[in-house]
Parts: sequence; structure tokens; C-alpha cells
Amino acid sequence: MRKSLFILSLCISQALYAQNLLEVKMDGTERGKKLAAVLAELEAKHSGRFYFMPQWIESISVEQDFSGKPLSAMFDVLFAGTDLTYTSPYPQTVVILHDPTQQILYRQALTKALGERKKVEQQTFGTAGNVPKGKKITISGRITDVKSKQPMPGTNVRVSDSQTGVSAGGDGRYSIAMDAGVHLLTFTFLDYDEKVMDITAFEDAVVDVELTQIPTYLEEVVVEDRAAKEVSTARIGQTQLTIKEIKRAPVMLGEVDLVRKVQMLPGVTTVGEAASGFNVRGGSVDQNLIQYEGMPMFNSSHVFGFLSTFNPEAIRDVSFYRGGIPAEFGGRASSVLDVRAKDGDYQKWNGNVGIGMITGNVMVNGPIQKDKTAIIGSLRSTYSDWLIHSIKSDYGNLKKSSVFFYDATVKVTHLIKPNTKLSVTGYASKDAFRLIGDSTYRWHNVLASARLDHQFSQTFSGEFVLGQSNYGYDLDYGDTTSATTLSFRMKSTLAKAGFNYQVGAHKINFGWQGTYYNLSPGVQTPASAESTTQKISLDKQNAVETAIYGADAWSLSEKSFLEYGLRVPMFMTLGPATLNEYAPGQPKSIGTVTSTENYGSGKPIKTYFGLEPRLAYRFMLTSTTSIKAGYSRVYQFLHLVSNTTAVSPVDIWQPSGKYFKPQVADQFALGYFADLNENKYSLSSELFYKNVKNVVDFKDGAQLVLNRHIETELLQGKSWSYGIETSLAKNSGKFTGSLNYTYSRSFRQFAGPTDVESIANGKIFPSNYDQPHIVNMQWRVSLTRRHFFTGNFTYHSGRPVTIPLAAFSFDHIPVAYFSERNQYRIPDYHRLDLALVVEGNHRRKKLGDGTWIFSLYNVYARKNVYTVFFREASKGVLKPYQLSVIGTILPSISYNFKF
Amino acid sequence: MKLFLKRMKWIAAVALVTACVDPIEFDAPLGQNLIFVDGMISDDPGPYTVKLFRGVNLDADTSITSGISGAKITLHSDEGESEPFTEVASGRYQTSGTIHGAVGTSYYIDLQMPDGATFTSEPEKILPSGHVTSINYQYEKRVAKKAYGDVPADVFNIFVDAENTQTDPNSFVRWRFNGTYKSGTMPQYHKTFVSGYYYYKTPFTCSGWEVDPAIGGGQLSQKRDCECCICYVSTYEQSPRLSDNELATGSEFKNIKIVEIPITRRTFWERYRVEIQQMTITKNAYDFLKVIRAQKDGASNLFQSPPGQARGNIRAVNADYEVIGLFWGASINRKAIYINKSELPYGLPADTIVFPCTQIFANSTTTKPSYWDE
Repeated sequence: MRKSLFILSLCISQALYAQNLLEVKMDGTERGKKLAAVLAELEAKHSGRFYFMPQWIESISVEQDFSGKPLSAMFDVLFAGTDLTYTSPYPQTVVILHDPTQQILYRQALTKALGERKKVEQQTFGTAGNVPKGKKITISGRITDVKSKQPMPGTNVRVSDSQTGVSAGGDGRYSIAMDAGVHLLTFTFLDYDEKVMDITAFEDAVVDVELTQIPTYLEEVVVEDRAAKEVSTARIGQTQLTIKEIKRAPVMLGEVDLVRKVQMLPGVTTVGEAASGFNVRGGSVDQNLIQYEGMPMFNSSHVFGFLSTFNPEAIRDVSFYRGGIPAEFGGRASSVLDVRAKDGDYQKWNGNVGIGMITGNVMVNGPIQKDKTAIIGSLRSTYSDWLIHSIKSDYGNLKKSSVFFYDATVKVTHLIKPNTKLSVTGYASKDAFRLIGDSTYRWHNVLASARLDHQFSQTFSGEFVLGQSNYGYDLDYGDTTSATTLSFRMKSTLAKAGFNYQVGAHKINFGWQGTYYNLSPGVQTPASAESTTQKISLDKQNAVETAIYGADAWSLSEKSFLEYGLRVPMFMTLGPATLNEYAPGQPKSIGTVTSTENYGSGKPIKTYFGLEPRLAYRFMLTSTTSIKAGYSRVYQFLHLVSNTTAVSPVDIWQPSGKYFKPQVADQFALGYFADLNENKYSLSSELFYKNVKNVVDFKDGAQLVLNRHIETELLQGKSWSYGIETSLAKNSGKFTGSLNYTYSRSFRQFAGPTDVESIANGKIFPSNYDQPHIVNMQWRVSLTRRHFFTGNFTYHSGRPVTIPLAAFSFDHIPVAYFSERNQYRIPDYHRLDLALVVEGNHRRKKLGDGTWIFSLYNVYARKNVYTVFFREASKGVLKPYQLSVIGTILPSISYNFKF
Repeated sequence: MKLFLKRMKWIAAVALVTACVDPIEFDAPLGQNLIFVDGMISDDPGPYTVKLFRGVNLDADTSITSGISGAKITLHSDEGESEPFTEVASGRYQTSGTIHGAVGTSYYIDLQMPDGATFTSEPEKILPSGHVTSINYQYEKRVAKKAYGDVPADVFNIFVDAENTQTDPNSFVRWRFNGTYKSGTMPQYHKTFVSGYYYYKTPFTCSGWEVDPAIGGGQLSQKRDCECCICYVSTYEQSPRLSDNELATGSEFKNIKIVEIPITRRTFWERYRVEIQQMTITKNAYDFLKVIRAQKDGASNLFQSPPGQARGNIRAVNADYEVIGLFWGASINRKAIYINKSELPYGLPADTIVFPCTQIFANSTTTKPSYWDE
């Protein structure tokens, strides 16, 4: 930013004895006169001199009565909100100064907005001359979608002529402090028309804004917004995604997928192609809180991770926090993926039909009662059976296999009053996967929630959520006489109340959350009348998790912004339960059981409290560069017990309790963000260090499924990770794109007092997802306004594996001898994908809008290793084999039609 | 769970698209650089055996290990007895029978490698075993899915009921399966083809049959008893069966599935002997065997987890390398049953193998074992 200051040159005659001109009391005669005339009178009367350019003050008149007040007080009022200020170097001399920086910036911003044919709306609040000197005024308001009336959290609000910028809070509210006067406010949100407000304000004002979704892609705006936002948002490690952005990336088999997009973000890795879940900053997959409409989702994958359970057509927006997790979220150590469903259209009916290679989807939404009640329904299902049956495979007869899944959402929103909205959402997803008529894996998520948003006053709002999330899986296996079903169930009943309160430069949010968990960790039942399988039912587990939280987002000054908060979680496991007491100081095993304790129904077994401070600070170095720092502590009370690298549907969630302490994660992050060349480029770099206590891992040879005493098979230790994430993006022009590079490491250590309580003899070993180098490149070339050539390239270091080193025979049993845990690595992963996106015409009024996506996945057909497994080549000699999920180039076509 | 895990053939999950499986190589040290010990003492009368051998490289075509000769191994008890092992074959060392393993006594070995490095095993106590109260079996019809179609793969499932008299909390039960079946071949019918359909009758000498020139026309006649027509074949479990806590009801184990016996023309040529040995093992042995079990059970699981290192109880005394393995002790209680071919729900045609049975069946002998009842 260029600054200039024009000061008149002075030639001063001094009158040392006289009264300071600024202290001269007004007598009331000046009222109604032009300021220039008043100053001339004062010069004559008090033998003083005023230095100024006449045009600066020609429009200023003295409207108020200043009798009895000093001249300085009159100047303060009259110059408030203008570029003028004053100084008195000598008692009889007053120099009026003109700092035009703000005016220049204002004019530049306005000219730019008009030049880009943006609609500029003008509003005036108060009159000049009423603002005391030094006092800032506050512009606040609520940003909503013009159609759905839904608040738009995360909307970026920038004062174009200053260095100030904020983003709207969870309820779509924003508040920004500035000098009185003329300012240009810009409201931007991904895929929405930018709104420019020309505000002349001399008093606090409320400016509510409605944004309109862009019917076609004006990506320059979208990307610019994202870049500018990273600089000015307070929080470090936060990414806002919209589904339109996701849709343009090249996709596997034409299936647009949210989680795959998340996996391309800096600091995020995945263990392989079909891995469900993702690893954030060296954390395990269970350390990610995945929420859909505020409800936790425990398995977000279809077909073991080929797709996620989120239908892109039903998603409104997605917030992803990998650092600086806000106080309202908790319970997972690494990240939060907060997915919000679209609201129905309150005005008219419309929808979308999509056909991909694997799935088809339909989404319909519209008003039940215009401007009052809206509904949206979406359904996505697969016809992949034909695909499986058409594959030539050496793995038996795939024709007897079957893959089926669906996910469906219904959301009804009702505006009870203009300030009260009720949303009721139902969601269901189900997977069934059968292998050659052998084993069938079935898993499901069923969520239901009701949410009430209420605006108590302009500055105080609240949201209340009540809901239930059900997750479970069943595994059917065995022949007639051994037919068995293995089941796991987890029910979470959740209630929460959150409030947002705005006072001055503070945006305060606070609330309470409570969840009751009911787990059935394992039930084995015979699946046929002839089956000899014994019924085994592990004891149910019950737990309550509650938390209170409060946070204040505080604009300390134009440049600095601080968000600080505290979350206090409590976790309590409850009876009924029968638990073993183990001899103190000895490894937990059946052999060291000293007694058994019974807990009655509802009786507390173990309670944990935590204190989770959250801090985020941003300092704008200039209007286009900022530094940010963040610290957060998070307690995680639920552990995913798994001894596979990827999430498998037979993994078990294990609550903390008598045997397992909660995981405690501390994360520090520091970042630098810059927009270069008028936002054409943006650059960011974040450093992080994360330390997690009490992570859970399995002992060598552990048997986890249907184990009544799972505490004897698991150990708790520590993990830590650190890294640097760097991102460079070109945000405008025909060619746009980004390049991310992450260097990070992730380690674990389980050093117990004895060998059996240690892993790898207590030595430090890299975690399963320790991938030091990660490069992600994405680009888009706009061939025309409707044709885009897009691509991405991804590279990451091969992840660690444990491999057999030798074969030997023990007691006639051929055995392999394995290396210490994770001491070897699979080959590096890299892949290039390309796509051509052809969009419909860009007229706003049209019957429908169709988009074709032609994509090539894995262009150079690299056989990237997904997993390494071992097969007996000859008796006992286990040879390592690599499995490449996608071993060839995958072309695909998908079509989406919006009506 | 073994069955369950074996069936977790996730491969088809990924075969959904274009999954492919290829061998992969790691830059890892050769398996032959690792040295292993496999030894045991029980309350059975000796001699007791310790095997000392090198690991097999992963690119080897065979699982035959190469023994290490020239080591000095001594057996010790906590009662002060000791007895040296003598090398009876390459890498195979045996006691002479002076020490008889006794319940309640702890035993360990000292090992001196040919290069002078010394090792010792942690003392392992022989704990009294419970006993198998009954062995039951159940026929199960099954098909195996092969690329060329379904083939029958029927089995007998073997279950035991057992009692555990051991109350030591650091003891575990292992059921070891030893199967023996009698199977026959017809080496007298061996032919050597010279061209097309033309052949000579070339009965194996051990068959006792010869082409009798006296009869002429290439007729065979029996001159001696066949010495390689009937074999007694030993089979072993592929994964150790260990007591899991949830299986026991008090001191009783009910209906514990031990093993599956494949029903083929060879295994049910006449009858099959099922021997279950119940032994009580120490925590050390349990931990070692448990890792082996995890590895074997997870072997066909594509998402198999690292089964971990089976390190055992051999510790270095004066050595700069490791020896891996276990010298363990247990008392053994045995019970055996026979399943006759006649108990099959269908008849099985005889197999016509024209080679000496010892060539066909691994772990076979033509000498009738002492325990075999005709």
C-alpha cells in the first residue's frame, strides 16, 4: 500500500505569549457558517494563522452549536470521517492536514468494482459531524443466501480501503469496526456473486446482506475470494470448500467426492487409493471429527473408501479445520470436517440429475409453502454390480459378488418467524458388499436431527440441536453349518445449544453439548438354523460426553485479531458393567486379574475432565500479508481400535474408561499468508507441531474382534508429528492452479515397563501414515467460458510397512519372521489426472444446466501400491505382494443436469 | 475367528475396479542371516530335541532350512541337573534321556554357537496339564472356488471338550493337533512311456512286483511284500490353537474347534487318526505362539496387519547378534480317535497313484506307528 502525506510548507511568525489557538472557546456565532469563514474570523480575532487548502474544507459547514467548547473539539467533530486532521506546532498556528490514503484506496476500490461491472449498492448512516474523535463505528449484520435465507458462515467481509477484513461467524453474523466516513465493503463467498456496498456511515449501523449463488462458474471470483480469505481469516489451518469447487477436479470414475478433495489439501494424507478416511497432520483416521448437519458420522465411506458417504448434490458447504480448531468442536484430536446440507429453495422447485460410471443421483428441492417452508431430498445409489460382473478377474467368479450402496438425505426447513428457523434432517446410508457368495459386509449410518435457529436480538442468536446418529456393521460369513453374523452397533444421542453474542469488537460464542453413547461392541450370532456357531455377546458400553465452551473473537485493532476460547469436556463411562481388576504394576492379562467388580446400571465407572484452551491470532502485516499463530488442546475420548492400516468395516470404537485414558492432543501452528500482485497469486506457509498422549495401538499378535478383555490386547503410548505446509496459488487469468508441498513426519512410541507392554521394544517407530514428502498440484485452463481443461498431480512418499524377513519352521508350523514395526516403506505414490469440463450455457434464465466431465484418472497408468500383503509362495515362505487398486488408466464420463 | 479371518478376502473389494497384484521387493537383509531355535521339553520321556537353523530367504523356492552344525547346547534344570545335547543330524540336537522332564521343574538351555557366541533361554516351567475329555467331529459339505469352477472341499470339523486343572494365572492352554492317516499307492503299476501309447511296465522295486518273464507278455507277478505301498502320513496344524479366555466356562472348555480335516481320496483311503494333545504353557510360550497364530490367521487377509515379531525367549549372553526362537516346556495329555472312511456320507473311489507312497506324501513313513490301531 502506498501512503503519502501532504503537508503544507510553513512560514511561521511566532507569538509565544498568546493563548493557544486550539483552546479558544467558541461563542456560538459560528453556527450556520462555512468553516472557511469561521477560521477567517478566528484569525482576525486572535491574531493566529490557519494553514489549509481551501478546497479541503469548502464543503464543511458548522451545523452544531459549539458555544463554550474549544476549537479543537469543533475540529474533532467536523473532521470525523474525513481525511482531515490538524496539528498546532505553535500556539498561534494551526495546520490542517490532509491524508488522502483512505480516499485513494476507496476510489481505487470503487473504480475497480465498477470496472468489473459489479453492482454497487449505496447506503448512508448518520451525518457527518456527530462522531467524537477517536471513536470507531461498527458495521454489523447478517449474511444470508437470497434463496434459502440460510446464514452463510465464513463469508468474507473486507473493507476495501483499509486493511480490515473479517469472516462471518457460525450464524452468518459479522461485525467490523472502522473509522466513520465513506468505505467500500465487499462481501464474498465461494460461488456467490460478490456484493459491494458503498457505505457512508457516521454511526454504528446494521447492514444485512443477501448473496446470490452464481449460476455458472465465474471461477476468477471464487478463487480470488479463497485467497483473500486465507490472509484475513483469524484461524490458522482452516479451509472452506464448496461443492462446485470440488466438482471441477478430475475424478476417479467420474465420481465427484468430498473426502477425495479433502485428501488433496495441504497437511492431509491418505494411506492409499481406496482408503476410507484420511490422516491429518500425522494423526490417525479416528482423530477426525466428521459431522453432517452437526451429527457425528462414524464411517464416511462407501465400498471400503472408494467413495465417501456424502452425496455432493446435497452438500451446501464444508469447513475443514486441521489446526486452530474452534472451541465449539471437540472430541477428536486432529481435525474437524463439518459438512452442512443444502436447504431447499423457498421460491421455486428445481433439481439435479447426475449419471456417473458407478452411481446415479437425483436431487429435488423446492418450497412446500413459498417463503416459509422448503424441502430438499436427494438419493444416490449404485449400479456397480454390472461393473463387477463385467470384470475379468483371476479371483474366482466375480459374478457371484455384489456391491450395493445408497445414501439419502431429506431436509425440511421451516421459517417459524423471520428470526426463527427450524430444520429437520434425516440421513441414511447403507453398504452391502458380498464376495463370491462368501462373506457379506454390511454397514450403515442413520442420522436424524432437528435444529432450531433463533435470533434473540440483532446481536444475540442461538442454535439448538437434538439428534441421533446410529452406526453399525454386520458381517455374514461361513457355510451352512458355520453361518455366522458378527455385529457392531453404536448409537450417539446428542443435544447441543450454542449462542453467539456480539458486543463491540467482540464476537462471543458459547454453549453446551452433550452426547450419550451406547455401544454394542460385538455380537456373534448363528446365521442359519443349521449353524453350530455359538452366540457370543460382548457387554454393552455406555458413556456420556458433555462439554461447555466459550470463545471470543476479538478485533483488537485493524491489524490484529485474536480468538481465544476454552472448552471443558467431561466424559463418564456408566454401568452396567463387569470389569476386571488387574494386579497393579503388572501387564494386563487374564493371568493378572485379581478381582472382578460389578457396576450397576447407570453407575459411573470412570470420569475424565479436561481443560482445552484454544487460541488463534492473526496480525496483518500489510493489507495483503498476514501472520497467524494457533494453539489448541483437544481431548479425544473415543478410540478406533483397528489393526489394519486403512479403516475396515470391522473396526471397533472403544470409549475411554477404566482401562483407556483419553487421548490428549496439543497442537501449535504458525503461518504466513500473502496475496501477491493484487491477489493474482497467493502464498501461504504453515508450520505445525502436534503431540498426542495416550494414543491406542495393538500388541503384536493381538486378537481384537469379539475379545471380552480387549484391554489386554491394547497399549497406550504417545505420538507426535511436525511439518511445514507450503502452498502457492495462481488465482486469476486463463490459467489458475495451486501447488502444495508438505514436509511432515509422524512417529509413535509405546515404551511400557515390560516387553509385553511395549511395541517394537519401546523404540520410536514411524506411524503407518508417516509420509514425509507430499506434493499436490492442481490446475485449470479456461479454454472458453464453458470449457475447462483441468488436472492434478499428486505425489507422496511411500508409507511405512512391516515386512517378513525370513521363513522358519516352529513345531512343524511354517512361520515368517517379521521386521520390527514399520521399518520398511512401500514405493512412492504418484499420479496424474486430467479432465475436460464442458458446462452448459451461462445464461441466467434457462430451462436447465448440463455439465459433462470427461476425465482420465491415473494418466500414465502407474501401479501405485495400496497395500502390501504376504502370501505363502511355498510352505511358510511368505512373499510380499503389492496390491494396486488402480493399476491402469481409468477414463470416465459423467453428466449432471440441473433444472 | 480363524475361519472368519480367512474369509476376509478383501481382494474382491478392490477388484471392483482394476486392482492388480504383483510381487514387490524390499531392500531387506537376507533371511539366511537370521538364526532360529526350535526346542521343547515335556513330561514325555526323552530324548528332547532342539533344532538350530538358518532362516529361509524370501526368494527361496523351498522352506527347507539349513541346520547349523557344531553348536554346543546344554539342558539345565532349576534343580541343578544338566545334560548336553548331541548333534544327531545337521542342526538337530538331542538329549540322551538322562533328564526326564518333570512337572513343576523349570528348564533352560545354554547355547554356544560355532563362532563362540553364547546364548541362554529363559527358564520355562513344566506346568501340569488338564485333559481332553472328548473329541467330537462333524462332517461339513463345502466347495472351494477355483478359477475353473467349484470343486468339492468337504471337511470334518474337529471339536474338543476339555478340562483345565491349572489355576496358575500365568498359564495358558494349547491344543496341539497331530493327525495320521493311512494311505496307499500302487507303485507296481508304474509305466514308462517310450512313444505315443507305447510303454514299458516298470514297477518300482519296493512294490515287490516284477515283470515276470516266466509268464511272458509283460505280466506282473508279486515276488515280495510291498514296502512302499502303504504309508502312515503325519499332518500338523497350520496354526497353533490356544485357549482364549472367552472359551472357558470355569475350568471347562466346551466344543472348542481345533482343526478341519480335509476329506479327500488320500486322507480317507482307510481311516484317519486324530490326536489332540492338551498342554499347559507358560506366558512366554503363549506370547510367541500367539504371534504365530496372528500371522497364520491373517495370512489371507488383504488388510492384514503386521503380525509382529515372534522373538521368543532366547537371550544373548555374549553375542553381537540375535537368535530368535523358543525353548519351551509343557506337560502333555493326549487323546486320540479314529474316523473311518465308512463314516463318510458317500463313497470315495480309490486314488490310483503309481509311485511309492513315501514320494507322494510329505511326513510319511511305511513303518506302522506304535500308536496306530488297525
